[in-house]
Amino acid sequence: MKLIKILNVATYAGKIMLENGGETYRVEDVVCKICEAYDAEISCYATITGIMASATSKNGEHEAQIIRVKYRRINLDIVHKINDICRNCSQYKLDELSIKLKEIEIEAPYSKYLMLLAHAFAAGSFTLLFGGNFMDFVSSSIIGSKIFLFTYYFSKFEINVFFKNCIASSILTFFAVMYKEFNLIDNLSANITGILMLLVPGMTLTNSVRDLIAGDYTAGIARGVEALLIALSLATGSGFVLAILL
Amino acid sequence: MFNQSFIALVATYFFGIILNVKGKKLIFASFGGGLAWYVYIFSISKNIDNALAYFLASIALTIYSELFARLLKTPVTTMLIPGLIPLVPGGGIFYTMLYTVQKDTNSALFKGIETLFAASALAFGIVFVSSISKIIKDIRKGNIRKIK
Repeated sequence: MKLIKILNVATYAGKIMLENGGETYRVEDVVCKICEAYDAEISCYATITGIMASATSKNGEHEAQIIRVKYRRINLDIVHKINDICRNCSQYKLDELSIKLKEIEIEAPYSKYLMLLAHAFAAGSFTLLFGGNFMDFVSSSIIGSKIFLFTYYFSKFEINVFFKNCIASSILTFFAVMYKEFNLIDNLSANITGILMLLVPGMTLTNSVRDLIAGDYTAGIARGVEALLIALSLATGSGFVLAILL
Repeated sequence: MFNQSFIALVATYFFGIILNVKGKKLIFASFGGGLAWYVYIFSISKNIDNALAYFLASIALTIYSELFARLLKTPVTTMLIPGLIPLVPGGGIFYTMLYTVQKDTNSALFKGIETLFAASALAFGIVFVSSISKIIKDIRKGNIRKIK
């Protein structure tokens, strides 16, 4: 078996995991496990934007690979599936493993319409949780679905998360204040907070902490700063609109 | 309190869909969200300090996630991230900004610090439980470093 082929499959698995929101220590773990299952010695270093790995085979061959990860999205199902496959990757031949990984990567996420509903009801439920009534639920569901449509069509552009979140939070604040102006809702802050929950960096915060625990300081701090900046951009976006309209 | 926890459970369920959690994991993750919110509300009703309540809720949620992640053979994050979402202080971000806009600097500073503390409390809850679970895992695997 060629060493470069093993390394290619291993880093490919790591890349998919990193793109879909796995922690970096788990990515390193996946790359190492796959290489070790095929008798190659490996050292791997991953950050949130790339993977570097070098492998040595038993008869002294040496190969290295660098993968750059540019796009990141959230799909925890893919993280689960790759984790699952790599727990028992020694069962598969290398080609089978590579085909399986490709299948996982192109697997469809939940459909657009279900996502729309989920955004709407999540925003609505959070508004109820923060003390809204039925009208608040309805209005924040409508605004939540608008936010989904915005982020969905905006994700076609390669634009940083900070700008995107800033615009999204100013849009949601604008609509909520408008609804309040026309007396459709009474509890403005429950509305805005509920919809804001769709955008808060909960995932980044969790992954940052888990990376720091695992001793991955570079990735942990990078994610921590990302979470802080997202929170600041949310505050900026909604504060800007509030300052103008209130 | 149960009503609120149920709403938190539903919210976590829908947020799990946004994060693409599928099948049985989605159900268990949403129960985690409900549990975390229940612990938080319960602690608040017993006059426990806000940051400490976040810490307790985060501990309860992380224990739940570590247990069920092992049962369902899935990464801990699949359970932990959806469940943590209701606790993330999105309200704090908004109120800090609202008071700043209203030129009420005292309240803004107070809210800002409270938000920062809440986020840190969540983080430390995860650190606390995950470290203990790692110690337990190492002991069970016999993976203990010898001290010279």
